[in-house]
Amino acid sequence: VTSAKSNVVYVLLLVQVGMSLLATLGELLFMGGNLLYAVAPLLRITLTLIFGAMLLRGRRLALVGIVVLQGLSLIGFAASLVIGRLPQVDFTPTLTGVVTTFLLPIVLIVYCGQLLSTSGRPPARVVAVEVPAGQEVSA
Amino acid sequence: VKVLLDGIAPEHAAALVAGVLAAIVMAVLKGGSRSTVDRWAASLLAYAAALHVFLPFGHSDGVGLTIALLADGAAFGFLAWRAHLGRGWRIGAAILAPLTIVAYLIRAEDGDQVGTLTALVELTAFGLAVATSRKVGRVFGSIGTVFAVVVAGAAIWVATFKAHQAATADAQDPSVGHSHAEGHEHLARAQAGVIMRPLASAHATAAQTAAAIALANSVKTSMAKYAKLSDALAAGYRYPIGKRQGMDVHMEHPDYKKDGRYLDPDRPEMLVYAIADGKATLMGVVFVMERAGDAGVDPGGPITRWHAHNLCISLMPPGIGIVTPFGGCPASSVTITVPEMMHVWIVEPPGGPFAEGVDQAWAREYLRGHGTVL
Repeated sequence: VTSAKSNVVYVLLLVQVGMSLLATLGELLFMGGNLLYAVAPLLRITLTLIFGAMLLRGRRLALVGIVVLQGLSLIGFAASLVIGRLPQVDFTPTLTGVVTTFLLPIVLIVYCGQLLSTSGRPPARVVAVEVPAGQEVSA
Repeated sequence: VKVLLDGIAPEHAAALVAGVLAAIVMAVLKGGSRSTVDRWAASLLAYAAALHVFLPFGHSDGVGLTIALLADGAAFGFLAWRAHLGRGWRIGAAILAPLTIVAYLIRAEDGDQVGTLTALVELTAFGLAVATSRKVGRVFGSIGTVFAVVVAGAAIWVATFKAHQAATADAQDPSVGHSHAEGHEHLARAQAGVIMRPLASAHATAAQTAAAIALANSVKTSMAKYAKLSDALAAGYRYPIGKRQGMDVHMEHPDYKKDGRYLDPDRPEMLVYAIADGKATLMGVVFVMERAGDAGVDPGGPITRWHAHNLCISLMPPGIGIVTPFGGCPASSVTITVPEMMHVWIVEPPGGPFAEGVDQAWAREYLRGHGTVL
């Protein structure tokens, strides 16, 4: 599975981990340092890093795990949109928010999907055919 | 969509469009490296290149800064072309991307959404340079990438909130709109925890200044009845969940939040008390709009400026955080924006009656001198 595309997925996951860590620190500061609020985010960060490392080792399971995590991100984005319809609250789309919480998960899902389809395919068989001298080969 | 566009400073719009187009062109350009890493790097670096080249068109900067922007753009462009061809670009990107971000942070550039997105693009290019090559060492490169994202994001965040705290609007000072315009515009575009509508004009008219002064005086007179915390509690104000001490305890009145009245000096939706060491004193009030997304009533124009917060509501366990400069929240959270609000201080703090916040040390000193025993 390991390829240049896997490397791109890995780096995008690293960027996502950095952003998640920052958000977790922000929530911890807001909630008075209560470490309970770090449990779910750190679990997600840990899983992301594990899947990233597995991806570089060519593990197919990592791709499935990444797709699931990114799917959860998209569900969170959709939930924010729906909740924002309530009169008491609103949803504020921002340029960075759209890129990081909507486009980035989609890119990762598409790339992982492509890698999954590639990794599941049996290697192409190469058959040597002797061509008489002077004869052209057509497809 | 309007809020999304509000985050883009008009002087950065051309550069953003140029950057996005350059990234797309580089992505579809044929004849280059077939490596996905190289192609991603080429696109991201091309975005950074075009953005920096086009930034001077929106700005009226000095010659020095214009040359620096063009040079930065040219360097990014050179690296983008090398990445496209599959030649060495990693060392250059690993140096140039963080240097550019540090330069912006040192200059304390207005952190609008374009600036933050560009930082993210450059950080991703940095990650591609250091975390996909065995030469640097993948572990060090990975740690460096995560670290760079956290540090850059935290620096943008701190700068945003510092500007939020520093933004003042003194109704006694008619020049308020002009003198604080830059800070306010910074707040309007960053959208990192604080959402503000861009100002139609940073200059308050004489009528707006008079209206702002009248509002501040009216609130001060009306709120004399809540000088004692016990009177506020008797009137129906409630402690916020989990906070009964501090220099800014925001006490809500559930009925006033849905009474359909706005900016009523007799019925503010929140009271702000400083409470500590067995003493309490009323610092000011917060007016809150009933519906999220509705613009606050601003008789004082740029002086009486409203703001909202985009928050992260976590579900496991229930809690609140603030949306990061990158627009994200921790896992198991949803993003919401609360209705617009505006503080009016009755204690004449530094920054005036419409300042966004009161310095904690100043509030503590005020409580010591003016607090009443609980």
